[in-house]
Amino acid sequence: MISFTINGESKSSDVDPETPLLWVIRDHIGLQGTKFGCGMALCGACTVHMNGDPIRSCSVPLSAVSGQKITTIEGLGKNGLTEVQKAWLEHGVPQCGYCQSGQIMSATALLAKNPNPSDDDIDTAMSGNICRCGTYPRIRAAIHTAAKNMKHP
Amino acid sequence: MLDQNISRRNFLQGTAATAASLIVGIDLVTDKAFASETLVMSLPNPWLRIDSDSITFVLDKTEMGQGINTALAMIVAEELDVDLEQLTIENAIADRIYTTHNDLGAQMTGGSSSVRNSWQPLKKIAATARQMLIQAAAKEWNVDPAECRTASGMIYHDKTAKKGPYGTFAGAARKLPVPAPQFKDPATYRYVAKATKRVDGHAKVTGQTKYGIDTVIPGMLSATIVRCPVFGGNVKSLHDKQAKASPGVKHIINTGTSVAVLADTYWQARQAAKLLTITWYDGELAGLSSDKIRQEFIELAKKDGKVTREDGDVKNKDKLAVKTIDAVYETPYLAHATMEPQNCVARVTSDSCEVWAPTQTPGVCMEVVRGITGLAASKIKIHTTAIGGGFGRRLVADYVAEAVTLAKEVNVPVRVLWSREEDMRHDFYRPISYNVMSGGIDQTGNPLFWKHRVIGPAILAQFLPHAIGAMIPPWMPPSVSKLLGKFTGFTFHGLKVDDTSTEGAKDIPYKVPNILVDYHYADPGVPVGFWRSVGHSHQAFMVESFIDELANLAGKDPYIYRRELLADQPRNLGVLDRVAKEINWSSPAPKGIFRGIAQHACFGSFCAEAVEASVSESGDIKVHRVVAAIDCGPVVNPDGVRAQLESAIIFGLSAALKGEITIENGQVKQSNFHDYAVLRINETPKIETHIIESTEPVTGVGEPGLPPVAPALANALFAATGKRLRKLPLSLNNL
Ligand code: FES
Ligand code: FES
Repeated sequence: MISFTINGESKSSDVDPETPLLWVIRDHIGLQGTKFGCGMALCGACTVHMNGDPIRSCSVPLSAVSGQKITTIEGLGKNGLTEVQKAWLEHGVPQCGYCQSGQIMSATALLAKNPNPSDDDIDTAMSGNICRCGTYPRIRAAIHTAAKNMKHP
Repeated sequence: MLDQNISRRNFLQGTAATAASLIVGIDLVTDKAFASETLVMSLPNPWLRIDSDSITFVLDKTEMGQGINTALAMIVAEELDVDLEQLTIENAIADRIYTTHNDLGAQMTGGSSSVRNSWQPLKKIAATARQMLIQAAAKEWNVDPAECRTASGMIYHDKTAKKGPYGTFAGAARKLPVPAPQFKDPATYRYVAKATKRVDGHAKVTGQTKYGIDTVIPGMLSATIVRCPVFGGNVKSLHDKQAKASPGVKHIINTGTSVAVLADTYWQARQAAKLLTITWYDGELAGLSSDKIRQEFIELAKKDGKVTREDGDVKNKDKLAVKTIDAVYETPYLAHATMEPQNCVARVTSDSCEVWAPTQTPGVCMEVVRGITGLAASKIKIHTTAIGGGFGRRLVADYVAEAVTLAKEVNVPVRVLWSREEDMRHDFYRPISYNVMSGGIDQTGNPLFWKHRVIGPAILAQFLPHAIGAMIPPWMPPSVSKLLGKFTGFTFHGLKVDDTSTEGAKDIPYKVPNILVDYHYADPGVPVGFWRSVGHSHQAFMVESFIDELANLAGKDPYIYRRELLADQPRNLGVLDRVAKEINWSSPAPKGIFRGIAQHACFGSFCAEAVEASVSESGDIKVHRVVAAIDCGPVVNPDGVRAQLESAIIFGLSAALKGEITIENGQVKQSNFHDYAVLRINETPKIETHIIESTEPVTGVGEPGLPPVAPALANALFAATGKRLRKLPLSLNNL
């Protein structure tokens, strides 16, 4: 039995501890906002936070999250949209939207650490997240907007 | 031939269950539909439903990121005179009704056709509905309908201060004769032609959108399918004892050419699949390699092909030309790599089948399901889910066939979910293309002749004759393929087999007196399919690079050279001039940066792009800036057009700089994003988009932004290095 918290709620899971966190979140806990894209930590679609840091949940076994705090897209903005989500809407970022949970989780972690990211900082933090619809220019603009609005809400 | 009134009555009766609702259906759109027998079996599910407490727009196009849900809802909201937020948008199930305003001949979304096909019919449907509601209200209030007005889903009669929401009058409106619609004056538009936020934005930034992969049906099993790595191979032997004993495993099914593991969860199925020991008969393609394919194409290129364009006479013109140039251009197979891997959920009982599919083509899914289950269409329900990217991949219903076949076999709902590796190795790839070109100029530098020989497979040759047989896995019994084959006429009538192989090549717009384009059909057997902008995606690279070569031969500026040769093509010229102006072509580029330009028309739209790029000392290519201009007729959602241009440019840059599927031993070598790389944010240039104001017929934007970017970049790299790159992906490291 492995225990952890997800979006502030305590959970215990008795599935095979080798099961990637992604499938525990999606198939056992039933939170489906976190997506499967590659299964090899190459695309970022499965990005969630572990204690605030972005991790690729497809490549982290359940055993590694024992006692940790996990946050998924569903756990953001419990009281309405976050500045990142609002900036995403303002810039019309999502197209198919499939990568966007992962993008938003990566961007949120970036801004928590670095409230004023440069374009290079954004490149470094976001280059693990693929978007086949090509929403990158809007992601970049939205991160700058979110950074601004987080400082002067 | 059906009596139209009877049909309409049946149609409305069928919906009587939703009492008090007004349904405006296809009889308003085209009589052709009601003349069709197939309508009888259709479900009552047209485009618009007005109930007492909701207004539902049924979207018959697949929303896969292109924003068609928003664009079409804007049109409906406009003419119905409701707020966009008042519309509930529901995905249409598969129904022949939805072929009526779809010139692709089936209920499918592709070919940048949705706005083109839907604008006028939806406008008419919505305006007519508004008219009927007004008439019903006026009757009830006993006032002149001409004195009534509408706003935000309400009807007002100001003189008597009467008002009421649409829903109140829906029941009465259903009984009224269908009036002629009165359209809004475009000057009063609230939505159309105004940049509008996507209707699905909120759901997509909060992770609430339900994609195919998110479908959960009680009791469903998850299937992982191990397919023969070699195209066309099949199972020789299977040892599944260990896999069977693996946790959660319920069934292991040897289909002949693949082995399916069905377990309680995806992860269990995947783990168990690793324990299978399978040996394969590799079949005819076992020895196939990219090298062999290329050698075969080189041989073929020596012979004349089938002529697809002939102007003047190219014979002996090479002797008359002042200067000539010969070139070979090549592009590889490409995978679609949609972010959401292929998947489908199916439930099959003895007398019904229900399917949840992330598909671009519910119409074809319906035929596939009919073929496998033998059920009538009325017993089959195909739900289109949200889609994590289409790009043409989901025009093929192979994964739907898999789910339905397995669900039928085991009698419980089944979800098939492909891994990224399976998705990359069992795609229907953009066809490989080998091109031999030659051209010459006269004394003035103008082109005297242009010869272009295309060698490669033809998508429709795989798609059409064996038809849906090509859309279902090879392990389907031949009887199924044959049965389904007869539906292809309806699916793709009007298109010739080689159309997609030389499109973009045979329709070059430049003024050249002597042109010969010919084509060799050569299919090595690798599955091919529609890939965003199809033939244009590679042929624009050849044509727009080669015209640059001629400009260079003539010693002329590549923009001016194109300009002169496009004097009779105002729309090509319009977009070309616009990007040249916006990138400031006539002044020098910043130091160390070089420019290239290209234009291409496809799917009725015209697009030009100019690129600024640099090359490092070690030969690394960096794209700094792309400026694009599109002429696609009147625009519904300018922000949607811009987003599609950005999207197509980035998709096209992935292909220009990275994408390559290679074949070795009859199988695809690449497997995931480490060896089939796509553009990432750190490689993405600044993109500027411009929309030409146009009163030409409306056309699409999902694809036309893609073709010009590869040649524009190749032309910039020529400017930078003097080296002409004639092969995709572009590389200066392995010259
Ligand atoms: S699914 Fe985890 S990084 Fe791609
Ligand atoms: S929005 Fe479609 S993959 Fe990013």
